[in-house]
Amino acid sequence: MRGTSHHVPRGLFLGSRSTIGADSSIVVHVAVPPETLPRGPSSLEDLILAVGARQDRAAFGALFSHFAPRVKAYLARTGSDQATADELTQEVMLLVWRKAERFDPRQATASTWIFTIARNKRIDRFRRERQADIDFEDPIFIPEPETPPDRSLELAQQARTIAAAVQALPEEQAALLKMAFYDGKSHSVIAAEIGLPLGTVKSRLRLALGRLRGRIEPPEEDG
Amino acid sequence: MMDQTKPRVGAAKPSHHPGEEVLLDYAIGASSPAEALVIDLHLEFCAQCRRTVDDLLAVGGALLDVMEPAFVSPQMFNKTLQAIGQNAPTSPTKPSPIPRVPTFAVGWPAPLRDRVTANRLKQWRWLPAGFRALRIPMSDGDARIWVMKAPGGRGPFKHTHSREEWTVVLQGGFTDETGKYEMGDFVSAGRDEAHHTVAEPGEGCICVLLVRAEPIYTTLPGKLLAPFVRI
Repeated sequence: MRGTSHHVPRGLFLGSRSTIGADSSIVVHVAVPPETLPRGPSSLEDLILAVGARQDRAAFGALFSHFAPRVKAYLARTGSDQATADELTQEVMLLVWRKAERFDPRQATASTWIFTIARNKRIDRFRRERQADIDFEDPIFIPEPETPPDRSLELAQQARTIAAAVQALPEEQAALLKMAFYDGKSHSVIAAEIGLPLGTVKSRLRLALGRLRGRIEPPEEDG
Repeated sequence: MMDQTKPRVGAAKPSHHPGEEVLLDYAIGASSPAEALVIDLHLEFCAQCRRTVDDLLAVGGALLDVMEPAFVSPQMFNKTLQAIGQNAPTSPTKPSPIPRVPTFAVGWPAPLRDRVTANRLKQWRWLPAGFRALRIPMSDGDARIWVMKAPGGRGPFKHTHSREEWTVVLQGGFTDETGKYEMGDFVSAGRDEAHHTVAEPGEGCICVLLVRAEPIYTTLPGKLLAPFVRI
């Protein structure tokens, strides 16, 4: 059954279509046997499709190398201890394997899809500790009944926009964005922690998100 | 899994939405369980807000990509492969029907149906003046979720709140001093805003409410009846 807050992407439009090997910052911490590495550069989306279509373990190994360390970093930042972060990362990667068949690159990039799985897994764990009676399913994986438009080219373009904009954000906006997305903190929690008025936090986050979407908004008065 | 009881949400085109900051808190998983349920219900009806949330999740995806990777031991990959080799857990069963709770004309929106089924809710509670209410159990501090049915042309007595109240219209609609609200609309009533809501004549209104404090009735009949309509 479905739990709350397990968002079902029905038309994800941003994200990244990154290519294994094209990003020199990718640090491979996991020893993947050489014979399991994919031949030539493949996009992360292609790797998920390969897992979905033919349970391709080599493709899964490459996905694991890229995503497991990032998913773990995300889970560790959002309040899981080391052991829990390991356990949840493994569960997230297992879901990637099991649900790969339902991945639709026309609707989401690999990174967005996996971020959403990790986000749902974190909520699931956090809630279960307080509320044992709810059994969460993962509706993220249920595709739209009608054929969605193919937005993969648009997604790739949007991903480049975000990646460039993230680097160029003013520090004060980048810091708030990371508190929100990496730490999973609400506007009011952020405001309380850094001692800024709620209105200031709202307007800074809105400005930052506007830039990431390639939208330049006029600066607003803080407060 | 096709959803047999899906409401005709495609017909709805809500014109009242949560603020972007509410959707951001939701997208990053910072909403409380009760808040997330109410937003889920609005999203069932609202393509525009689904798009906004998708957009925000895509920012999350891009930020995940540039995150400083953590160390993952090689054993984890092997353990994951082992887990893959084992049988997958049994897949969830198809949604079970909800016995004995009268359903809406449009069917239960999925997030609510799941809650009602999970909690085996069976009975609407009758309130004065033809109102009916169904409490959805949540463990979320002092937040309470109610599904309310108001007959056409009626509304609760004029009241105010000491805390913010969220409403999503599931069927029919209502009007208050601030405007007219229809299927799928998300309404946030700020604290200390007195409002007098009236359900749409004829069809009436079914809505879901997130309340965090007892309403404060501002007229005599409301004050007199308050002990009996406590939500």
